[in-house]
Amino acid sequence: MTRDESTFEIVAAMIQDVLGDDWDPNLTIEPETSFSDDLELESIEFVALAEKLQAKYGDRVDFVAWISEKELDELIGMKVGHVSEYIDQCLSSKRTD
Amino acid sequence: MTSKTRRRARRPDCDVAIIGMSCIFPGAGDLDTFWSNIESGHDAIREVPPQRWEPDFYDPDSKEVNRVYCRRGGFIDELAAFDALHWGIMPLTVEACEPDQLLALEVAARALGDAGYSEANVPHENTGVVLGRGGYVTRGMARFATKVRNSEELVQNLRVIVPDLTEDQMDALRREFCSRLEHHGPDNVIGLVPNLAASRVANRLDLHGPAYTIDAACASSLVAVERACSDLMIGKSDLMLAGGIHLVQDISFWSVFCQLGALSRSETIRPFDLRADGTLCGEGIGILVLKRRPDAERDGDRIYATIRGTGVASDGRGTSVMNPAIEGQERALERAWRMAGLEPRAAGSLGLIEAHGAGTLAGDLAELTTLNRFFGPPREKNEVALGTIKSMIGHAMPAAGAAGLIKAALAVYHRTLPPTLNCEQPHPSIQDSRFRLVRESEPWEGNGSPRRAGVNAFGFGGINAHVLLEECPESRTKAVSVSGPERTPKVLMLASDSPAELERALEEWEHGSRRSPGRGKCRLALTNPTPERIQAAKTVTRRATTLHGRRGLWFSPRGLVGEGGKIAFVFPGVDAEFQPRVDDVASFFGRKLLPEAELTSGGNDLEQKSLGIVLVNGLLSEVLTELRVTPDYLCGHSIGEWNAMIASGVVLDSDVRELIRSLEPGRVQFPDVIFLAAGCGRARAEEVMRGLPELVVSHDNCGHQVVLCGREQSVDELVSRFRSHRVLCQKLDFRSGFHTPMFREFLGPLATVVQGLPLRRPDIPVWSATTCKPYPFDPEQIRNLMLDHLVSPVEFRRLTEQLYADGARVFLQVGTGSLVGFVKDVLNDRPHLAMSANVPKHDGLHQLRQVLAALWVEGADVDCERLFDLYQAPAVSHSRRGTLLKLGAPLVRLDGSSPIGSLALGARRAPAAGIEDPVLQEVHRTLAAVERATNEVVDAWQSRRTVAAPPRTLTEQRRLDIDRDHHLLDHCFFPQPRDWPHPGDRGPIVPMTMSLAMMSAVARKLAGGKIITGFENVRARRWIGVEEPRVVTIEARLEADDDVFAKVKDFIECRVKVAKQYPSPPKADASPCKGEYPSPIPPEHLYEPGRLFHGPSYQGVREVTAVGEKEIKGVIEPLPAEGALLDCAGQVFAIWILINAERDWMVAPVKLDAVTFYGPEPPPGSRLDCRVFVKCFEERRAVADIEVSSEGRVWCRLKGWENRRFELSDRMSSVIRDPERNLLASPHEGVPDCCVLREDLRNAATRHYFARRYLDGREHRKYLALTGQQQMERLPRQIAAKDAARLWLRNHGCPPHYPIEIELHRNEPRGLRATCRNGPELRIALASSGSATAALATDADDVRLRVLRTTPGDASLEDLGLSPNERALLPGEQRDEWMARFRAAKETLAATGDGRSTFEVEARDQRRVKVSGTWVGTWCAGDEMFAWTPADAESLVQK
Repeated sequence: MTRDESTFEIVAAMIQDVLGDDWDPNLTIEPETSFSDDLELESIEFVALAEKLQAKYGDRVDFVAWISEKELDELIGMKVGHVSEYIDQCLSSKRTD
Repeated sequence: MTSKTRRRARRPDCDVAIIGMSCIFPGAGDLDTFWSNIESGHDAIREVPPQRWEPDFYDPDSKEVNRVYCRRGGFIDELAAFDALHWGIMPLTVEACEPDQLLALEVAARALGDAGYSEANVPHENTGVVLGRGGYVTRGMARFATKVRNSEELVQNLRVIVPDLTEDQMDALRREFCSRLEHHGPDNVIGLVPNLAASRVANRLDLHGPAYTIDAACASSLVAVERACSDLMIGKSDLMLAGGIHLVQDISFWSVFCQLGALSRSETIRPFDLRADGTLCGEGIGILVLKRRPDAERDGDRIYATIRGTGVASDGRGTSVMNPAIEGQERALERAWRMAGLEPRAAGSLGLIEAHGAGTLAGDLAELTTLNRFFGPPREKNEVALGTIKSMIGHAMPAAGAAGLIKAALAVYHRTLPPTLNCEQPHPSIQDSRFRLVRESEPWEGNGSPRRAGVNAFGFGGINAHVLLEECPESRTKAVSVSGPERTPKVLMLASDSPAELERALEEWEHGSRRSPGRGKCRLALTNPTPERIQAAKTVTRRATTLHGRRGLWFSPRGLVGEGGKIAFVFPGVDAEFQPRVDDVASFFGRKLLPEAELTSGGNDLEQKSLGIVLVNGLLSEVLTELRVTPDYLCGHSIGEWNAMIASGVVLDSDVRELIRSLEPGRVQFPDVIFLAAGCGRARAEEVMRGLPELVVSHDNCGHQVVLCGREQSVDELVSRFRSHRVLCQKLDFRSGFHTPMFREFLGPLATVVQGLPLRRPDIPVWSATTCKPYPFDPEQIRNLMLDHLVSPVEFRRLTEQLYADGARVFLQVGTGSLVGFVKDVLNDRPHLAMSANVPKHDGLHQLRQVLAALWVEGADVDCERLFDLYQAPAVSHSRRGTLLKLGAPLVRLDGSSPIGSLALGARRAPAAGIEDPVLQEVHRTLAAVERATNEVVDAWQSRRTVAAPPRTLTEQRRLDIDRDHHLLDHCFFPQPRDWPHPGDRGPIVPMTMSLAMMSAVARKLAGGKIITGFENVRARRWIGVEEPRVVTIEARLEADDDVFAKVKDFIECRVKVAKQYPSPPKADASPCKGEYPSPIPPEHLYEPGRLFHGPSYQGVREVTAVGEKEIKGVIEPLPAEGALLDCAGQVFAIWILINAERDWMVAPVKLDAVTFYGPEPPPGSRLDCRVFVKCFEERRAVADIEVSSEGRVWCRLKGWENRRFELSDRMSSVIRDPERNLLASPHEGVPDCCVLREDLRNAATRHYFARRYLDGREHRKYLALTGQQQMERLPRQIAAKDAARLWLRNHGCPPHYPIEIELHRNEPRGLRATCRNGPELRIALASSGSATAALATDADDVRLRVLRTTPGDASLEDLGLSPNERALLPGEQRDEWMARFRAAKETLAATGDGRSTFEVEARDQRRVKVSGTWVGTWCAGDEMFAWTPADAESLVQK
């Protein structure tokens, strides 16, 4: 698995931001960290994350469309690494275009 | 012994359960370590630590009584930690106290903790303590006797040897000798009284049952257990602490045992081994918590083992007191087994004998004989394990039985047969018996009967005890699941005043020196507090930001509720998902509720789903109330609002169910519309949906979610628009059309029910999600709003905002749903807590626990004990921190600095001739030899003797008098009127820095021409107040060449550093302050009221040049007053606090770690730079280092200047700033010239401060003569009275008065008379109102004030007592209130006692009631009714 270090770190920082006060300093976000089980991210927080991602990457990444295509169990099992991978994919395909 | 008596049926209620234990024994500071040492066969025997007794006493070849042949044993020196602070015991007391008393307290509390009790919740009434404790010479007593007796012995005998010793020399030597021992005095000798080992436990833990120590030699502990069981069984006590304590104290104890030949010459303890040659001393303490077994089962206690029988017997005349008699031992065993109703000889009757086994050959043989006789010949050879703890820890004498009993109980509990050491060659009589020695731990297999263990303890003089233990069948399953999940999760709860203190508390907890949650706004709760998790918790407290329960940790540095935030219950309505987890909740709280499966079986049927939601919400609401979670607001989302109304009492539960039934399919129809949830705010959604027909916002949930509702076609179109706008959205799969105008035409059936709803007034306000305000009171308006809500959007975002603006900080979702996310999204960074009482992920009780923990850390007073096992038992590590108690009584040793030097000279000249006593002659010969050997030294001494040796101590007295020391009038805490005649009333106080100057003046005289270069360890104990002239004693003692210990007796002490010259001055720190800004206080305002209180003699701060985040720089000038310069350095620090403290700005110095001077004090007129580095700024204290420099070189450094900060309410603060104009009592809103004092004066420091502030000299002297309780009763009345007078003066245009200018006198027949310095004489009436005190002032002749509590029920009874005329005067509305006014008015006049017995209400106006010719004012607010006279109509304040 290859991932762009910086994209993952950006996403992790955003998650930390969204969680705010609820952020547990003893928890480190790994690519394997799951949104629902490990982070206990609520749907509203997820929306807030989506908003941040869009603000950061703009049209290059259509996070909403990507999420909308997912089934419920896929969403529940989603890990932080999935998001950063998807972003990296979008970014590199845009570059090759 | 006959089989008949043995088989007699036992009383079934005889069993006593061991539910908690704790101990300290050699090698084991706690129970867990004790057990792991036992299991692993840890040998804790070692050589005696040198601090116990001197190695000189050891001489294996000597038979002298003052020599011992054995020096190995078991010792607990490094485990004997005691946390004096935690127990509120003064360090002075600890020093001289018998250590066994303090250890008993520690271990008793830990045993209770092990049993699940905290200091707070242990039952007090019928709980007792019995401890076995020998009457040996204990450390405390030995040291005390040395001081009292040996000091005298020393000097008197020395006088015989050296006849020309003077009285002064003897005194000096006696004092010197005694000073090497700890302080003893009236304040601490109680710690030498032996029974306090038990009584101190009862005292500190507030136990009201019997508390005593007993001495039955080595059987003491088991006899204590027997006494405790007996008390429990006859019902005299309900909970007992029993055990024993023994510390191998004095060398005399060792000597006795050596003389008896009881100690092992090979210095090895070998119980039941052929090579056994004696025992070894051990020591320690063990305490068990005992309860009747049925009670323990009822309370769900963990039961280590049950005590089936206890037997105690004496040998009688059996044999000599030293030799054990088999008959006596057998008798004890027989009594225990008879009590149990068990046959000892039966197969499988027993699995383990914890023997006395002291390691003496005769004793062990006798015990083996007893065992063989009593338990009979083997049926199955060697089936019973035999051993003794003594092989590992030595013989702990009176505590030995406790060690054995704890070991046996743990063996039963852990189903393990533990090993015994050093018995490689067991006595042959064991081989063919039922017994065998276990050499390595082995599992204790069952044999069909319950596992049983017998414990022996046989004491000197022929006192024998046996205790029979049996496993508790229920404890088996618990024992098996020890590593499994806990039934009730443990939580660690700690509170403190600041994150730093909390971190300290965590450490204390880790080290076992803290076990109660403590107090304070800064709180932490941690589930499953393993060592790793505690480390993680420390990281969190260090960060000092709130954490709300992720991974079982809650932390709040201040507490939202603690700081006044309110709690809102938010009830969820219909949500996309409904997965309640309430089965366990209903069963735990004994509620009937449909099982979850049925609650959710209706799928998306609206009626079923709504009913389920309302039932779940309702259950949780009730349960939360039961757990003492009390809301300040109620509100709901959609139909959740109905739950809010139920919870407030507006509607009945059953009525709401009726309302829901109208949603039954067929009874109600719904518009053909669907919902769409969109992940954006309302404005964005409205922009995107613009132009689409029949589409409205139905729920405005938060900035990231709105729900829209409309025809499917429009919604579909909207979905694609949202996609292209990159907005997440999702169709919801339930239909109702609620909260849209589309539903209006279907409202009919619901409206019918709502119109018929009986409504009540709410107990707690319900806030509407339509208006975002509290519901109206008018029933018609309530009904309309309920229906409106169904056709108007749910304005949840605005509602959240409004509640927050009104003060809500905690939002608790009482049900399951998405509201928590909405609240968090709305409030975002603002401080708040939003959480759900129920979540799909966890079982219901689990989530309730999360709620309780979170609310507790936020400062709410919730009942955590219902659902948590409050984890207060400390996880004590092997070596505990805290103060280690000194267990030894080493010899007193004088050294060269003592007066012995001059005595040696005297001895030289003592006549040796003519003494016939051979001992004295011998002494003289020895002295002569010493003299020869040191001849030169002595000559040198003598040649110097003509020069008076410099004194080593000096005591001076100093008179402090404001008439002479005028500058002290410029250091007064209590400003008074300029022309006030009594300067003492200003509270002049000696500055700490002046005390330093006083001490250094005396120290200098001891320093032999050297100079003072600084101070260390300055500790101020009390302020030196000089209201009256006072003489203080200043003592100085030369401790070393460069070190003088000095004190102003009773007030302050320090070490004065002396040297030949000053150290060379370092360069001053010239860097700019971090985050530097100019001072907000201009130099000319520094000494204004409310800033620095110093008068001209101390006003040496010229300016503040810069202020930084943690620093401040200023210029100070030396002034002639003693200590003024350093005081000014302290003032610069105080200015930083003034600038930075939001409150509690008043400070006083209490400590100073070190002062170093680099030169002489600069002359007056110099300008010195003063720079303060603030090291610590906490709620109650502030610490700084200060550097004073001149022209770039440091003149003086002060390290660790610690100021105490006084806790002040806003009112107190305002009175301190301007005592002439401000009142401590608040003026009453409705009663003119009346004020109410609500300030808390229970804190002694605060109370004394305001006593001085309010009372004049005469009043203050009276105040000081009162007890604390009397002060608390009287002072608030005096303050309220003076403030009422000052209020009257203010209201009537008189000049303002200081409190001291109002003089109070008793006024016959009632109330007080106040003489005002520049105003009329006033009459004051006083009344108490709950914890507050009300006072009313008037210039009329008579004044009365009453404050009554009113309750509606009282008023309706009152109705009966009204005359027809009075009844006619009652208005149509607010009848209850007016009846209360009538009653209050009548009572006010009735209280005069002027002979009139009947009072009739004759008239009333807006607020007054005329009773028998007198108008009485009345004011009603909440449940308080004020009634007073005189009440002139024009003076009434209209609301």
